[in-house]
Amino acid sequence: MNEEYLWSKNGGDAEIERIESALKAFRHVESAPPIVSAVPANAAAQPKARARFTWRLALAFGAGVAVFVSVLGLLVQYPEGIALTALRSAGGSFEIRYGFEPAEEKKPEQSAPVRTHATVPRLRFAAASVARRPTVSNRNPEAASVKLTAEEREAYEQLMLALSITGSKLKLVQDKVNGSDD
Amino acid sequence: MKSLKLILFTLFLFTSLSVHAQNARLNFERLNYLETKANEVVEVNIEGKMLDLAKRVLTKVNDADAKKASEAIKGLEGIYVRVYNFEKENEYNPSDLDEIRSQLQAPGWEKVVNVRSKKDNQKIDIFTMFTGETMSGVAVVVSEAKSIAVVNVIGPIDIDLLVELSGKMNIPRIDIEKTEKDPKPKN
Repeated sequence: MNEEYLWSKNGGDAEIERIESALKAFRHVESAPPIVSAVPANAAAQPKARARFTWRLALAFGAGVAVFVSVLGLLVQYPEGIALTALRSAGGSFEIRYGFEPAEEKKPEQSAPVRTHATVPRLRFAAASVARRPTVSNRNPEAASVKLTAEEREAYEQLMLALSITGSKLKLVQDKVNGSDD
Repeated sequence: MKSLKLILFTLFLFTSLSVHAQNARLNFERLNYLETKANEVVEVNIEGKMLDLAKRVLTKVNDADAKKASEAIKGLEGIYVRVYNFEKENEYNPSDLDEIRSQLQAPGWEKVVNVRSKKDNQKIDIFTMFTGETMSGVAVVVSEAKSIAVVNVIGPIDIDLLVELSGKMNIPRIDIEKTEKDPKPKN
């Protein structure tokens, strides 16, 4: 084998030339670099999408800030906080209501006003509802009850007791007079 | 001289009015000793600020019967109740009640109901007092073999409405009549 031919192609070597010609088909042919003929189709839309994404991000951030400020405002206004007031099942449908209830006013028992549930200022909104129904605050019979101070309760019970006894004695007489008493 | 007459007249007017108001009030002191002897005692004295407070609550209760009761006692000035239930018969002295009844013989009182029944030795008296056209007092005296009840109402009250509401009002349940229907204990 002529090594001179192998490395610098000087002289000749029949065997190498034969192999060379056999592998000619696989020879590397240097061609011109590929010319970019067109810009990718989505390349123009990218800045628009980016702008839209930025807007959405800004809107989401703004909404988040608004919600945070609202919650902060409510917490400042009603310091005793947020109460989950009801998670009810009504006829197979669930309704979740969140209520913000103001702090109980701490007044002397003597002058504490009589307040019904209806008079308690209450901000309510339905957070989620599968089958929304009108919310009536006094649907519960307890809602009709009155919040009383100890003194008011005592006075009321004493009066009711006195009236009840008086009424029952008068009824006893009425029954006697009418002959309906056995 | 003229002003002196005016002052005297005003004084007389106030005195006579207060006498009228006090006339309807019965003295229950004679019954006080029964507190230790009775099996059950109910004692209610409600007047003045306490009554005003109770009336105010009654007007605010969102209930039809409470509204009626409120209407029935609109002019009420006081209500005093004594109920004594005894375990056995003859545990009180009938003369104690006679003393109460004698107070009701005073001018102004008029007996409107008088029931006497041999069953349980029952005696029921109802007295009313009127100032002009307005009722100024009611007294109910009930005595039975094993119980005494005296009710003294000062001021106008709608009796019919009260009877109608009997048993309907939302009050602590105390069955006053129960002992009357209890079978007598076997000796």
